[in-house]
Amino acid sequence: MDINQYNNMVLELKRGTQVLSVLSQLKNNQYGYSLLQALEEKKVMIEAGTLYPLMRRLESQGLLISEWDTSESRPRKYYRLSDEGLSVYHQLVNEWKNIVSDMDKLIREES
Amino acid sequence: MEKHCQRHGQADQGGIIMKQIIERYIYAVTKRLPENMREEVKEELGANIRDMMSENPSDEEIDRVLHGLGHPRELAKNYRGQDRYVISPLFYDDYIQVLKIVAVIFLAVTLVFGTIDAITNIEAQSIFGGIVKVFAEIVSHAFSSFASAFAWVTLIFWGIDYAARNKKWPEWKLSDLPDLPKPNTTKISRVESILGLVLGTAFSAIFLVFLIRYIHLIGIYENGELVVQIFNSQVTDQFIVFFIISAVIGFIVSLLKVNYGEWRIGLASIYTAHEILSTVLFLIFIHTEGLILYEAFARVGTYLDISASAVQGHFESGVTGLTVFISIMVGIDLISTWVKTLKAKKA
Repeated sequence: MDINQYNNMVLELKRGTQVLSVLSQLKNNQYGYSLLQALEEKKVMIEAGTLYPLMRRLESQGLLISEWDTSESRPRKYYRLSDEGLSVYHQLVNEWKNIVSDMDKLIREES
Repeated sequence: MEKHCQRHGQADQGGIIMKQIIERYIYAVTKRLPENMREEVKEELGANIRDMMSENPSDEEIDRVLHGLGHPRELAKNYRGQDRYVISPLFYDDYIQVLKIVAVIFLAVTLVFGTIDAITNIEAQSIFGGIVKVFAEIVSHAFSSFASAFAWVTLIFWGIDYAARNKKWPEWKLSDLPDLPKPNTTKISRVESILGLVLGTAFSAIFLVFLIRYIHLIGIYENGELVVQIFNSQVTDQFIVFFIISAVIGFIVSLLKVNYGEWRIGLASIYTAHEILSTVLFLIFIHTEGLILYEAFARVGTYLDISASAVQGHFESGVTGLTVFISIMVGIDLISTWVKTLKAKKA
């Protein structure tokens, strides 16, 4: 199989986990780059060009709240989960667990 | 070299230039966004970019960070959230299919009218010049007709697509499914193509032999004696080489038809090219001034008791009628050929 096709499959697989990844790290305030680093530390790679727009989108959907901090020399926009965001996060975690257990069954049957 | 100067010789100025680069990058993103998002994205993206760099970033650092963010167009797309289309992927195949058919019909129709128009208004010194001129006119007609076919189909599909995205459509019905295509509609029957090859070749051969050797024998005979020659051989001689070329191409096209046995894009293209070439050539031929000798008109006039110029007038309107007829027939033939060809590719 073409290596590019394979990479696309992996990318496709990971894309579905992006929202969950982002929500999981936003119980406390984070700005764009600090969130990127927090995810990278845990080996979850989301490109900056994907992450920043995604945060904005989640905010417009009401899952995140943001505020500008202009007290320091570098103004930054901080995001954290809203109440709704927190409850959606818990629901998504449950969905994720279901997916993992369903997939596990499928994979174990195979091998 | 320039870069080198910026970094060492004029560090401050270089820094300003690189700051500008960042601003230009941000502008390249925000200008692609809806107005109400621009200001905020500008602030936030600027802050994010600064966070990703050191206080006084080097050129390489800026380069790395901006390339890491991706092409401004792509980043803008991510910010916008949803993909935007003139024709969405859902409708794209239908669009292309309709576009092909409409383009074929538009092209054929303009071909017909363009040919009639160009032939009846021919004003060239040489035959070659005439052919070139007629072709140039046909091509320019064809081009603008293709452009308008493209514009219309695109506009209409844009509308349909837009409506489909913004309106809930009734559930589709099983009866809406298309009928299965008739099998083998694209096949060229063997008998037809072989017959075409034989008859076409025979006809071309006879035509050419007459044109080359016996043109002076075609005329009006009285009591077994040639009284008046009909065709002006000085005119017909000029056409010989063009008719030979056309006959050879026609022969090759017929062979290809027998060989392939079905319509394909390549075959249909060659067929179309030859059809147009031979039609235009023949139409120019019958429109050439002085093709029929004036004495022949005069002779016919004496039989019918009318003047030679009246006979010539009738002949010319006959030629015009023939031109219209031939052009339309060729147009219809080409439309049906291309519809078959394009369907074949789909099935």
